[in-house]
Amino acid sequence: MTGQWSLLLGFVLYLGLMLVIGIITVRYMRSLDDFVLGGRRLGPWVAAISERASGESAWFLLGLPGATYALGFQEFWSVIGIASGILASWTLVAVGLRNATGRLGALTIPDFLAGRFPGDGRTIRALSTLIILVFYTTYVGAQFVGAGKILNATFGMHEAWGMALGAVVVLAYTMLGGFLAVAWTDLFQGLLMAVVAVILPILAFVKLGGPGGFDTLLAAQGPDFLTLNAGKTGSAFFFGVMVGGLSWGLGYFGQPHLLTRYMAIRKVRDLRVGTLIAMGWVLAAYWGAAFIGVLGVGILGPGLEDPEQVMPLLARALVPPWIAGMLISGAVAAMMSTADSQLLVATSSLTEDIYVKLIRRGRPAESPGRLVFLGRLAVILITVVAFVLAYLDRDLIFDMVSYAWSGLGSSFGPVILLTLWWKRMTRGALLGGLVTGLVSTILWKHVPGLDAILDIKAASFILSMTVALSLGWLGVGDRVLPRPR
Amino acid sequence: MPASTVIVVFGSWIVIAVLTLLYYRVWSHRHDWDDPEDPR
Repeated sequence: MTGQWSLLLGFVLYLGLMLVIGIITVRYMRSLDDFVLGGRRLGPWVAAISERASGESAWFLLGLPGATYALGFQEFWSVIGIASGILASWTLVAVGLRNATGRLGALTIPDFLAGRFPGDGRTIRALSTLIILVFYTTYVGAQFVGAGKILNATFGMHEAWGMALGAVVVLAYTMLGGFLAVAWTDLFQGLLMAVVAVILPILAFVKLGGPGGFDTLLAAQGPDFLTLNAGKTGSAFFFGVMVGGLSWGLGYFGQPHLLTRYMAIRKVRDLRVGTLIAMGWVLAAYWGAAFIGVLGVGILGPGLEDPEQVMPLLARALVPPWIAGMLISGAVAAMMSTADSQLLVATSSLTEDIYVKLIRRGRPAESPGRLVFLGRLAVILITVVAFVLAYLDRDLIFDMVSYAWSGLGSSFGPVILLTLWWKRMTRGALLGGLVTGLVSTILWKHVPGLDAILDIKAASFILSMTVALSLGWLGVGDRVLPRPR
Repeated sequence: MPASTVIVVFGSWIVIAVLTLLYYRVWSHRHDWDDPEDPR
């Protein structure tokens, strides 16, 4: 068997397994609750690894290694910010959110926010859903671009066809199995991603000849590659390099596709073990993923045309083709496990928040089967829109994810934290925070020069938090309701 | 490789691991673990 066919076999087996899980989980789906939240039946392992797999997208095994390959150790600020953000989200948000959504019977983040304030929550639902749709179409699109890059680097497939193949597989199993299919495929994908992020840098390190070879090769890249300030000093270092990297961590408080994992866990108490499992994954995999890019410089040499292809190229350079096929599937896994979860969140908002709560308000409930059918239609619609947008405006995965991450994190993050932890939080502060996060992210992306003053993720989060705190302090709108029962 | 890079890259790993264990063993006991769906 030729190397190319061995690669393809490993990859096709992986895709087949994902579809089988989708088909098996169809039988467990009887209502919209099952479709969007798996009937809150997840154990700590599935919830934690699924949260990690969904949290780390094509960015994790393509974007981050690409950035460390091109820029060197300064990208470790991102790793530190991300690991801190994940720990903070599990410890500050998970328990409060699971308790509150369980008591409210809330299935989505807009549902939770609307339920915590007096009134019918129509504006809150509509605005939250708008934010979800705006940013998730970009985010899902970035995952399809990732699939195109991986399949191009591995099989020489045209990027557009690679994007289409990734989109079709994700669409198929998300539409079939809903949340349970997504969570169970995530468990498998999350473990595969961790294996890749641990094994590949170890193999590269050995190939380079251990610490001695590592030092020699890295020294040839120049001092800026090895330092954490990249040769910058003063505010250029502090705001441009350090805050820019660390600010990735701020986004974790407001990513609905991750927060739904906390909401779906079977017992609140399981979140304690879940934190340990999720952080174990982070500590094993994140530092490894960053080292893939650094070590890739030594193995592949500098000057790759597209730095974001460093992981698949390194796998092909280091291991036999059939193992490389499995390792490269890890990058596809990272892409799919994020895209499916995000598709489901966008779908849930359209069906639960817009159709069930806004359009059919006050009228008899729909049959559960019809709602699942509408959910599946929404999955198709959002996949098509995300695919077309990504195809028309193919950008670096790093930039697309940074934009969507910032938009969701700064719109939802501050208001979710304040709703959970601040008794003076008000409905006006909630709406102000949501609007500020949305508008500031769009401004920061499109107005030249703003990103040079302060990174998009830090700036939009700080602005949104400041507006929400100010309006809450001034008492604009009704206060957050007491502990939901 | 500069010592500062080594200290920050590997030191941050250790700090986050210690904070995780502290949360698991000590701080998590402060949470409200009432299960809203638990009939007990």
